[in-house]
Amino acid sequence: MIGNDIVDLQLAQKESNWKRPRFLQKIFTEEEQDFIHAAPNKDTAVWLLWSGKESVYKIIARLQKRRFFAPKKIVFCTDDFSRRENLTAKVVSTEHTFFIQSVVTDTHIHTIAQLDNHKKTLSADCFYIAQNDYKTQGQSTRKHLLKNYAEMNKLSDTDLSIQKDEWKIPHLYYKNKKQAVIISMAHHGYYGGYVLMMDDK
Amino acid sequence: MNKTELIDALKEIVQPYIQDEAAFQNLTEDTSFIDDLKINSANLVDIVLDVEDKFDILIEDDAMENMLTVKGAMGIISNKINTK
Repeated sequence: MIGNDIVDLQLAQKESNWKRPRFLQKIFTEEEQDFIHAAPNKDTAVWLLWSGKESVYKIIARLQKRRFFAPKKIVFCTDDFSRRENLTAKVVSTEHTFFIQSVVTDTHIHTIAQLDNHKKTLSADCFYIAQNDYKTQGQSTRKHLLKNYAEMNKLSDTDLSIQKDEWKIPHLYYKNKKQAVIISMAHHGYYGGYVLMMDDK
Repeated sequence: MNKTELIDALKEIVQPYIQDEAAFQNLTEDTSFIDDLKINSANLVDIVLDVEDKFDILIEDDAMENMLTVKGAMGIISNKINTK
């Protein structure tokens, strides 16, 4: 199972004032807050950890088929905090362990969380989208994903579509037949990204 | 505070964070902050803090879980105000 998240760092700075009183306390454990305050770039550290929690949340919401807002229930293992850039962290939430990988640039962060660490076929991408309105972002992210899947499987992307179920979980269809692939999409500001995993269970 | 006043107060709080104006105009108790209003999930924290400030309440982590819909937010606020 996989989930991913994107943070446009410039937009995040504009949209969210994480220095506001109680903001960090609502999202992060004491240890996570210590990591942020000790980081050379605190802004990046905040959004790095946030994107990790969001990516993991997407997996949990999918597994449990329920929506909730509880960022503090997803807890980073502090042992991994020494690896700042391109961080691979372990996250513990109840009984599950998640593996998190982030690509951090000056402009954005793309994070992918994975529930099991099996070597499954993964394909991920992150891209700049010239317009930052919500609709264009969503459409463009879908288009990128479908084009990639079509090329990988030698299909025509006009036969492919993405439909969300009642839990707002996206599924990929080929000629109205649900495909054995798990997809996760994200966009924020000028950046979109996705990850897909062949569901060979 | 009656239901209508509560919804109006909530509308005022969420307005700065919405990305879908039409959904905001048609806001009901069933409106989802993320799915309908397209509010960025990081801004849910701001909504929680704004609600705390506006109603002078403290929302614990467990109660915060439901802060995803208008109805959820109304439930949290009513509970807190009644036990004040």
